[in-house]
Amino acid sequence: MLIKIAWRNIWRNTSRSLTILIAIMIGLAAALMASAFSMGFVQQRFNNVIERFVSHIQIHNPDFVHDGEVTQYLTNPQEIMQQIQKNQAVKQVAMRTKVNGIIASAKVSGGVQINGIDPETEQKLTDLNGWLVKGAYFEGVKRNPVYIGQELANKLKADVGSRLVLNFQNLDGEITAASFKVVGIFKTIDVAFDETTVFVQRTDINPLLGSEQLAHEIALLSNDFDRLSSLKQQLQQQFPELEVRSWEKLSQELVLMQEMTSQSLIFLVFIILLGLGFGILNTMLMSVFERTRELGMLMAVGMNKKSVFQMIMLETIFLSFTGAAAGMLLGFGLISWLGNQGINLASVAGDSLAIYGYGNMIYPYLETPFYLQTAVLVLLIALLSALYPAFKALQLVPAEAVRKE
Amino acid sequence: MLFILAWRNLWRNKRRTLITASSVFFAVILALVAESMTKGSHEAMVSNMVKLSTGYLQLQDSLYEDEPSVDHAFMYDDTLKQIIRQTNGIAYVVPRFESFMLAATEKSTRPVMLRGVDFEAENRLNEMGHKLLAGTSPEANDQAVLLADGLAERLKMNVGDSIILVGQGFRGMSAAGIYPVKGIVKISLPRLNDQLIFMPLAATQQLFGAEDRLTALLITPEEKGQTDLLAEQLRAQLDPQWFKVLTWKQMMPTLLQSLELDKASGMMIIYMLYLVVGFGILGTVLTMMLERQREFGILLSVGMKRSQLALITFVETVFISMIGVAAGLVGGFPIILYMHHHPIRFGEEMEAMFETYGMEAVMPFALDVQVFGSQAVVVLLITLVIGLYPVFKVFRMNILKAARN
Repeated sequence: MLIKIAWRNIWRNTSRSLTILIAIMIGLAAALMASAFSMGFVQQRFNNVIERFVSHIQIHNPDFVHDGEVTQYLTNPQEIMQQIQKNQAVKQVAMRTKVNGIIASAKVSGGVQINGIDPETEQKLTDLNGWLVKGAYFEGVKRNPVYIGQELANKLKADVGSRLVLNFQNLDGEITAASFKVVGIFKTIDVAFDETTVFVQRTDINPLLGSEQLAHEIALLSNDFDRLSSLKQQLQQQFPELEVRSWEKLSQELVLMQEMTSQSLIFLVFIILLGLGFGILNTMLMSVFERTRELGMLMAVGMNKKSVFQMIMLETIFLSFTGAAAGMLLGFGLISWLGNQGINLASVAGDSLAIYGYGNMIYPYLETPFYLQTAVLVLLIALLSALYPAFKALQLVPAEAVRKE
Repeated sequence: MLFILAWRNLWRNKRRTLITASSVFFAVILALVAESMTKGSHEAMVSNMVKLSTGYLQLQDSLYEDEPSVDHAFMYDDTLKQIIRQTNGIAYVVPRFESFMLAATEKSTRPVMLRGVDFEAENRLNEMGHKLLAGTSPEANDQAVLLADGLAERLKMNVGDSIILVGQGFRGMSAAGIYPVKGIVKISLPRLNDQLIFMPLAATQQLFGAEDRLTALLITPEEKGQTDLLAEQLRAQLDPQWFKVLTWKQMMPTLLQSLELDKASGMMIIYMLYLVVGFGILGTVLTMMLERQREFGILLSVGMKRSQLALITFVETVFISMIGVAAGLVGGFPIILYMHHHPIRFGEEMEAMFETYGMEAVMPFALDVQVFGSQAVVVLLITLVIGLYPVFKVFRMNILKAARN
């Protein structure tokens, strides 16, 4: 009976009901969008940094992690590689020779991290070729090609085809110098990386260092990101004398950024939900006062206070459920659409971002449980917000309420 | 006359006015908190990074940025000092002479960054970032060095050991010397902590054969927000053929980019907040219009012009929003003040990581007049747009129906 009255009440005054309904719908859709956007933002940064720079897991000689000396290499890297490749959970793996050195053109010199790579496997792991802006990715230069960053090229006044001298310490502790030819120039999203990192072929640098099989680092991507920690443990057990580290340990800067960004985004989503709550509270409150006369009439003809309270709550529940359902649909639609389309942050932040090209497209996404959680939260807020107005309605004195115009 | 009517209308039904004003009030408070948080964390990241690395402004030789060689160190003479002294808005300056060199011990050689500094000025710029771990800081006229602890570890050096520095001096001279390690310092920027050596400025200039020359003069403005303006002022006074003035934004584009991305994502969410609070206020105003239909109907039927009535409702909305915004500013101030002094803390496990980067593990809130001003204006604008609805409604109102309601 009450349910019927409540349901009829809603449709008796469509514009009022629609107002509340739309407020809940928009609020929920906005809260969902905000969460999806945050997730997409955090994910985007992760993809950019982890998949293209750090990889999921790296393996080193423990001493190398500490000192980074060229003599602290991996023993039997080929064998380690073969064993890792056998692991089903590993998607892609590559090894690198790493040595610190100084790169010099005729005029300027600078400290760099020299990475000796196998261009093909490296390409599969980090899509290094994808950053190419000029020249080619290890093609066209037969002896000693070097792949350098745009920033370093500018600093050294070097171009494709320029000769550069690399100075570094070899395995015997002697300073070695060798001439390399710029084969290609890359530009990543990290200017500091572009200024301080160069790539050469392992087959070129290893003989100069004094050992054909030399490698300091093995980096890999996993097939199943969710089971990364078990893969890490597995590898650590397999190679107890080596140091196996996952991305959290490797890129603390990213973890820090991630933490700060996600915390502040969560905080903002919370603020949005509060805003939604206050909106509903005020609208419901206003609607109770608007209905003073009507409610007073109901009480005067004998409806008890409990029933009035229940009726208002029921109305709110109907409205909230309908609003929440509509909001979910709207939010889901928007997120799916924008998830495909992407949001270009440059359009919000202005031109300063446009010049970077990379990293400003956000693809919002939300996992299914999140929809339900947010929906439940919004419903809860709606109901809580309805409580106060419903209590207010209880305090109406029928005799006065009826007389009000 | 109309104003008086509108004002009286407000107080005729206080409850209604208060509900509407309170929805504006909450909107302002939430917008304030959200914006203050976004701005606060943004500023904390900037000042942290800026203080640790480049400073807010740098004065350099015009060729140094493209070709950071000691050959492009500039003369820090009386004319220049005079200009600095006479420019308003400079808090203090930090002179530096820095260059890449090779550092050698008995066992190994590593590329290092030698930074000749005025220790007093450096500490003023960044007291948090440099933590003395062992020994003491060299005096201004000492021939000794202060090692970053990551580098000291890699070179396996302690206080009292001697370090050999080899590099290229000023204009073809060679720079080589042996110096005692007087202290070891921790720098909250891992990348620098592994390669930085501090030396008193005079000793450094002497080593390079570049007396009175600097590679960069860091300038700290009195007001951080005036950085760009100050840069312009300095540029106007210096010959661009010889000098270049760079801001941190120009020197650290990667940082700027990631900050801009952060800011843009925060803005996206704040827009959604505006949407939600906007609908909250709209809901209240819509319901208010329903409540007053009869009143308006009667007013119109006794001969009030629609335009007059529309004006009155609009003026009422303006009054209500001003009351709400003013109350929101007054009510928001203590909240922001409290949050500014008691920022939200991150979990304990994050604290160590934040400390590595010389940051406090908190979500800071900015206490800034600009935040109050901008949010007041935004919410006021939203409310005024919403205030057009009653106007529109009055013009379309069916008098007979409304009066009979």
